Amino acid sequence: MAFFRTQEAFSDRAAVMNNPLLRYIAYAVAALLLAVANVVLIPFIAIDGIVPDVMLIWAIWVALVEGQMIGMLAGFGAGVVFDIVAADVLGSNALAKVIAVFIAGYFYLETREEEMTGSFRFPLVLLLCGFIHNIIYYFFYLRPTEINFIAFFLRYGVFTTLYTAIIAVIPMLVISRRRE
Amino acid sequence: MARFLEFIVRFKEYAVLSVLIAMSLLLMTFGNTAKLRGFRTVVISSIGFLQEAFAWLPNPLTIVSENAALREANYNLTREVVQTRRAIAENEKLRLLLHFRDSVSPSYNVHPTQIVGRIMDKSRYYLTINAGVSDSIRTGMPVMNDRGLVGFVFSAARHYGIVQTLLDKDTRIAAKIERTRTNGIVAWEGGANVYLTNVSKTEEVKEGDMVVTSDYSSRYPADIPIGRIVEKRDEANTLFWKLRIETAVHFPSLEYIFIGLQQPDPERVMVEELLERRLKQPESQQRTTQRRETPRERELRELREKDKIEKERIEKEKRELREKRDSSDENN
Repeated sequence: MAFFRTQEAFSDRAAVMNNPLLRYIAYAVAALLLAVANVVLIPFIAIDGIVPDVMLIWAIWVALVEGQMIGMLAGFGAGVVFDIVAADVLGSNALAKVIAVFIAGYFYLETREEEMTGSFRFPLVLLLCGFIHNIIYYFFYLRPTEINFIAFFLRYGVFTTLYTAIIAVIPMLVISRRRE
Repeated sequence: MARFLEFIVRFKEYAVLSVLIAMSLLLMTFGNTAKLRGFRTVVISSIGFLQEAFAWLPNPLTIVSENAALREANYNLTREVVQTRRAIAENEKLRLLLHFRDSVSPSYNVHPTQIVGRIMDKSRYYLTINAGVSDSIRTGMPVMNDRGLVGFVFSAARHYGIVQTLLDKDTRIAAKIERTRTNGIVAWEGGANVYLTNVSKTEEVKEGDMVVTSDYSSRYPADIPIGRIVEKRDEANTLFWKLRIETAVHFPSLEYIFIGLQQPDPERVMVEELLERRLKQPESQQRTTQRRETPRERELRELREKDKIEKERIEKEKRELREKRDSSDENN
């Protein structure tokens, strides 16, 4: 019976958003799906090998909707899942995302979540947090190598951040339209 | 304790951040355990399966760059194929040259060299080689390759030399038809072929006969192939065949050659050149260019003439005396 109740609850979007437990489960499912999509489907929109970080978009969105604390947990979870799925150094994405989401949490406005995520503030926040995320990520990524960090970051970090911010415009437009 | 908990609650975000950072660092440090590796292998296999399932989807943003990369790869591969073909051809040539070097008499030393340039005009075909006096190359040395005779060293500098090929207006080579041992002279009259002249029409000649250098040649070793007779021309008002020879050596594709390190006998070459030069001159010119007698010779000639005159005078006196004696005897 509980299973059917859960199914009913999932089918009703408002009910999901009002039930914290269901909401977190939905976040977790979304994180898993996005992690897989980030590895399987997102490479199809790669430009010169650079792909947007949809997991970061999702984590920042959670931080702007749920606040700093939940956002950090979501960021950590997303990072770990992504590290596993993408066969990256376990913990590197988690660390970068936790710190990026922590900073994004300062932009959280209680009761005005959609105002933040449905406006251009969302990609701008993402741009700032994306830079910090990529600085941390590439720092740990390049640490065991002799590759020049600055050059590599300018080549990949900056473009990844910009591309991620551009892709963030899509959910921003969706939310903006829903608000209207 | 209460104050510590209060502090934690007050700064819970920082506390959570610290804990999560610590966890991340721990994962980075100790996350590569055997159990996790196994789990990640399963995840990566599943992801690989999904990636393969979606592999048919085109990437519109990378198609252009992929196309460019493929074109570049195609170009590079084509170039590599050309280089490989060239290497195979070169290898084959070098193999033939090696074979040639082994096939020549051990007493006949040859120096392998490469052609680095060509000088051509209507009446000359010279080759520049990257061997010179420092490689014991001297003017007049014969030049050949695995196919046959190329020419001779026309001049030699320290590190470079010039080879005069058979396709030169000054070419005159004592040659013979290999099958019949009939001798003649090979000369060039323009074009890619040479001609064998001075072969009497009474001699049996066939198209396809091989022409080789003769033992009479002062410059070239005997029996080096020059080419094959491809045309036998019976020209009117002459006693000789005109035999067109396709050279054994294909000059445009020539790359490697051998210099025969035996120099021709200079005295023989000089004498023959003098004779050749003399024969080339018209008869009238030959007379005018007769050598002037030396003073000693003139003196001898004058003495001889005086002696002759004296002898004639004495002879005359003797004859007169005899006649007088005969007339007095008759009177008595």
